[in-house]
Amino acid sequence: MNNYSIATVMAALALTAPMVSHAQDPLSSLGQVKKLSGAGRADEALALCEQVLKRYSGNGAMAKQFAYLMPFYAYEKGEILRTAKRYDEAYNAYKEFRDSAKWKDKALLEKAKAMLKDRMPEAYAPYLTQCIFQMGHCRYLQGAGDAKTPGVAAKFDEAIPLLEEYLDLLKKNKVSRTERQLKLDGRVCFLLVQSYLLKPQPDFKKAGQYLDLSRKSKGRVPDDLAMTGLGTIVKVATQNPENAGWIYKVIESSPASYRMEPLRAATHAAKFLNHGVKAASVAGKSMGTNPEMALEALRSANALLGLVPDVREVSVNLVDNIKGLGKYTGVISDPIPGTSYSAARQKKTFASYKNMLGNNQNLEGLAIMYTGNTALNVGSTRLGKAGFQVLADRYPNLSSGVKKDKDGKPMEKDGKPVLNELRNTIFMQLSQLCYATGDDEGGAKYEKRVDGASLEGGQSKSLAFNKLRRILSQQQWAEVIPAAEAVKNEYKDNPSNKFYATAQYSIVAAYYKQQMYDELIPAARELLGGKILVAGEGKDALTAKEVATYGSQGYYFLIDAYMKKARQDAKLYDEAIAVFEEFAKTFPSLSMEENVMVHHMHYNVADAYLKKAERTVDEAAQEKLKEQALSYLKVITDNWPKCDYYPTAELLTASVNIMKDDMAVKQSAIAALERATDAALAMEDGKSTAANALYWLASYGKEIKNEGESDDAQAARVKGYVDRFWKEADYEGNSFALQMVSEMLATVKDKESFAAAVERARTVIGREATYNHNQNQAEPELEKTINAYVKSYVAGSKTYDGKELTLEEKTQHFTNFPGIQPTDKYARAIFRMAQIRAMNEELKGLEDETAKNKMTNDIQATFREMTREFRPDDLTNFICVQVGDYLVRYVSEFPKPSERKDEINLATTYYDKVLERKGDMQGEAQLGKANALAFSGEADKQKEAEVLYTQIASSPSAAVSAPALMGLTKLHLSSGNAAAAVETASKYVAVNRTKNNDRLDMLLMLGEAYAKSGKVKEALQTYMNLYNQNKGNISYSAPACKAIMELFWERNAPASGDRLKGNFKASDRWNAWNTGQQYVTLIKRSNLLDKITPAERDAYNAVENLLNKYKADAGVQKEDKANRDFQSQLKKR
Amino acid sequence: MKLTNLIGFAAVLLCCAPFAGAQEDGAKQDKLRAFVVKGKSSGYLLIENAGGKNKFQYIPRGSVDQKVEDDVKNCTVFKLMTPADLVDALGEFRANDLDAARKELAGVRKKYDHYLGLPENPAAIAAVYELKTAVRQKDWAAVPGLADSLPKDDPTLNDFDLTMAKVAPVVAAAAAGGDAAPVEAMLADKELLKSVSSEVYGWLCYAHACALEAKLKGGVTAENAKTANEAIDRFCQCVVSHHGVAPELPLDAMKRAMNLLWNMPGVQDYAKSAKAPLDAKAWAGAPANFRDAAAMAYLLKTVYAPEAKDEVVDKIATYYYNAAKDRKKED
Repeated sequence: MNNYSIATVMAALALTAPMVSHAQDPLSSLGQVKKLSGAGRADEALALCEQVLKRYSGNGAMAKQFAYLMPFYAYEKGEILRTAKRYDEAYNAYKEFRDSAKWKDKALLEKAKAMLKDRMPEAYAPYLTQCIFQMGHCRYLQGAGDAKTPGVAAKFDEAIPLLEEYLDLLKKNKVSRTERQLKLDGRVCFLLVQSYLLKPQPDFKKAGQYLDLSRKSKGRVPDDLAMTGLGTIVKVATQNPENAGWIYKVIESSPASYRMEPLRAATHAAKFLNHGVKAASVAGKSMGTNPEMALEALRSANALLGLVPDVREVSVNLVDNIKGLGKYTGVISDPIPGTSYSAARQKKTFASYKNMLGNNQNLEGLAIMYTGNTALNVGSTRLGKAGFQVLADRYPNLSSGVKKDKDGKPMEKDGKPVLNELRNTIFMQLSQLCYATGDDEGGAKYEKRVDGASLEGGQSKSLAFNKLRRILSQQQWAEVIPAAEAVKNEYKDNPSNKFYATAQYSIVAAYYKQQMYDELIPAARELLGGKILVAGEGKDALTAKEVATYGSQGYYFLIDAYMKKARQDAKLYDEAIAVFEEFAKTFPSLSMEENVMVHHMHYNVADAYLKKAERTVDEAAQEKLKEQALSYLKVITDNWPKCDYYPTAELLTASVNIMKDDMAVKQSAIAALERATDAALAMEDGKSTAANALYWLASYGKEIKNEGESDDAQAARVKGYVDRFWKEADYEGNSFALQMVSEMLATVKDKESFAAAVERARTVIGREATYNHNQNQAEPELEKTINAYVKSYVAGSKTYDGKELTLEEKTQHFTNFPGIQPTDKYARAIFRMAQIRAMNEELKGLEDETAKNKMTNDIQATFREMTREFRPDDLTNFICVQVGDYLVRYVSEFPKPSERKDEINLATTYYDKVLERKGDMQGEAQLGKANALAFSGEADKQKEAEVLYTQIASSPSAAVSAPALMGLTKLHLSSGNAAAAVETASKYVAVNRTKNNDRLDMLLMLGEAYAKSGKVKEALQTYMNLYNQNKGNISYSAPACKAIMELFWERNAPASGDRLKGNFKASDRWNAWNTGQQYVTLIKRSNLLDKITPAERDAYNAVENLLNKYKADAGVQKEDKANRDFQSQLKKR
Repeated sequence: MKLTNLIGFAAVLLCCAPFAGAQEDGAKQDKLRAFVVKGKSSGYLLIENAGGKNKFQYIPRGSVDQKVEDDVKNCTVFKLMTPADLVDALGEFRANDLDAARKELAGVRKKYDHYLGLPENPAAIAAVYELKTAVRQKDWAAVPGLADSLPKDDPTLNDFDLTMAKVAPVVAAAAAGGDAAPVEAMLADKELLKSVSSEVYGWLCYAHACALEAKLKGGVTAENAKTANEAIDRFCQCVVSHHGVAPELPLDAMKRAMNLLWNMPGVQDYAKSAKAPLDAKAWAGAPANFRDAAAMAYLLKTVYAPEAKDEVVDKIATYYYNAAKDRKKED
């Protein structure tokens, strides 16, 4: 109220009122009272009221004249005191007004109405009922308290009857028209809702009744009342969470009070947000234990967050309003909505908003974040993600305000406030939630925007671990290592923490998946070292089960790594075995449920022992190793008949036992193969194992009879194996099918078996050739089978069908073999070469010159045709090498390979094409070319071969370096360079420990090299070792024995020493004879002679012939007689 | 302002003396008072009407019908008082009684249209809120007309209001199943978005989602799952952008997101094999979209629309599992 207006009114009233001095003027005093009260000078305002009331009381003329104004002063006392928050005094002042009979005087009221009819038709009539409300209002305010003064809940009990009394008056229309127009019932109900909720004994039923009434009323409650009530209820709800639902009910009871337009909301926005956060916190904490309460709190949180205005929109509104108020310093009231405008207040609010915007403290952004998070807490990942997505898109630099230190003071750095920035949280949460909803692209994109360096404690740990988890789930093994190392770094102070352990385990697994075994081994050792896999208590500790899982898996990775590396370095099989022993000590249980890797480990250790045995020269040691392997295989077959390893374990057991001499053991092998077959066929992918087992059954079954089994029964059993093979175990890519076919072709005995073999061969050859062609690989068995087919087909056509096939017919058949793809150059080349081979063999058997000439011409024609069809330019490197190798093998079968110049030259053209083109198969091409050139009789070509062999001999690939050493040794031997041959052969034998024919061939060559270089002792040693360890293998024992005999005979050292003294040493020549004698006796007794091949027979015969020659020597006979005489004399003693 | 500060009210009436030379006539209901400060004088004037942008007309004291025109620019302060019918209409709007609000706002707009052109005039305010109400009601047919008829030159409207008027028709078109491109263009327009409030951003998200959803003709398949995912995300962004303000669009958005999630590949297959309510193991093993659909249904049923009866929501909510009870307590 401004002075100007008062002066005007007073001027207007001057006509009706006597002139009074300013000091005594009751109208201007009223304005003065208001001014003093507004300035906080309550006592002065009260004093002035009292002064006026005193002055104009009584019966004087002035008192009578201004008596109608006195109720205003009396009521104003209550207003002054209420404004000053002196509620007890205000209550008493209102009560005094209510109880005063003076103010109820009708005549006085009528006079006041008459005097103020133009301005206030009802004069002070509203005060007569308003005072009841104000009494209740004072008690309510005492109950609610404020920021500085705690409320006294008991006051609500006093407020309620007064407010209800007033409400009753409103309902019965026993109030002034002014009050009716203001529609106060809703507001009074609103106050009653709060009073019933907040009083010491809350009455929720009554509160609910007034809530419903309040909703039906229109209008809004003034801001301070609304905010005070809300603040109180939030405070109570935070302390007693079961009341959290009342927050949203109070808001819903008077939505217009709380859903404010931007200017009003501006002042209260921070409170709405803070209240919302508190309610959200109640919801979050109680969701797990009391979901009903949590959901009520969540509704309240949503209601509160919905009241937060948009900071930018508010700022724009504030700017417009401040501009509209200009330099006006007063307060403008807008009575109907009950709003007031003050430039000073709005500037202050705007300053705080400007500050917030400067600090990126967008309140609505924070409201969005809490809305998303509360939904996430309930389980909606999408809503949680949406919250962070909107923040990333609209408020990427959001902060929740200035950070405070431990004393609660705002922090500063370089004069600027230190903000609680949420950027990293936003992007980290968004990235993780993107991954959780399957949006990996989004996850990776936002993860990159996280500034890992500025993440704090738990956040950086979370980020690192979630990144690792994501990479693991996507199986990006190369990326696992650095991600896991980052996690380890976060938890480096506690290596037995489960995150650290998981990271280390992930490293081991990633190395395994990438086949990086050198790196895997130390990583696995670190995992298993005892510091990481330690069970403990607490949420971040490993459980005993987790320790066992990681540990047993770690051992598996480790043993498998050693097994893979051992293929290059056989010494590592010992490491693999040592790993198993550690494992068995740590995890002794044989239960697959308890010890999930136990069967894998047993299989690996058995495999390690078997592989070691293969590379062990000493037979006794070899047997021991095999027995070890068998013991572990037995654990598998005894304990885990359903596991995937079972069929292979039976198969491997059978592979060892079937080679033993004991028939009962051999029979047990047959039984094992049968079990392997049954078990393998019961598995989804067991056909290859079953095919292997059935092939061995079909092969060995012919030799091994069951106890009491007749020949017919045995034949039927074997037929059963064959039938079962084709019916149940055959499949595309089955190399055993080729072997079965080869065997069928080799055992053709009549027209029927010939037809069956040819039919089966055509199906299998066509299928397997196509399969291998599509896989771009060579199958050695295919070559053998095609060779067998060609030979059998040509011979069989003649023998059983009476058909002598012409060259054209042969060419037509082999060129257009059913099932062979026209693009399969490899298979077609094999067929052509096989045809040439078969024709060469036929040539050998011809006697007629005409026939011989014709056959020679046919062979050459076929050969020319082949060179035209298979030009190196048209073939891949792989096929070129295959064709070249095929030609080299073809050449090697001739007694004088050096005469096959055309084939040798042709072979080198294929290899040269590969070498010229570079690319793959370079080592193989070099080896092949060296092999081809080595067959040539020409010195320069042989020199070239030597150069090539020497180059390849140092290749890291044993597949080429070993054959190169072999080829080089042969060259050195053939060129007379025995010393060089010793060197290369020794190198081969030292490195290539696998006991196979190549090694045995090299041992023979080593012996020869030693002998040719004059090192008789070493030669004898080499041959004797070879002989002693391979007696049953006539291909090698016979030549070795012969060589020993010849060396002894050649050396011819005389006998020395004295038989009687015990130092007698037999003569070399006697030893020569004796060695042969022992060998021949052994072989004859072994029944091997019936089973050996013609080549082996020749080798044995050579020994026997030499024996007979030495036997006839007089010196030998004499020495032998002396030995026998001495022995018989010894017996007589 | 204190509740029923009748003394204040009385003071206002007492002080509501005529501005020097101005006639007062409080009887006509479509006439508004304005608090005016000009030079050293201040007080309330009864404004007859606007006389153009920022120009007002009043009848001076002593004159019957001789209007005097003045300019707001000549005044330090010109503040129109708010009529009760606008307060009531806005009360309906805030109490979510949208039908009543729309009717009353239309009435206010018409009644006080002679004040258009003056700052904070009720006709312009009513027009803004009428448009907002139409959007909240999803009355897409009416939105373009209302947006078009907004007095864009009026000093009452600020950048946020003007941007809203630009955005609303685009939102209406897309929300009715139209092309997504215009709304996508707006979502990418950083300059435009500076004057877009959080709620209006929520409108854009809603509209974009609707347009994307319209592309899923014949349902969600593996081929269009990416579009469905985008729509779900946009619906959810509508919900959070509103953060509790104006429940209508967020509620619809949540239901549509829930339905889309429920129709994502694999979700209903899992539901067929699952037994409601799920246990911890089944919940952990459920597809993410299944869990989200169930959680959203649960939120709709218990928090966002507990009074509404929706069979589909009820059915999906039965699968919900409260995983919060399994989380270890924070230290």
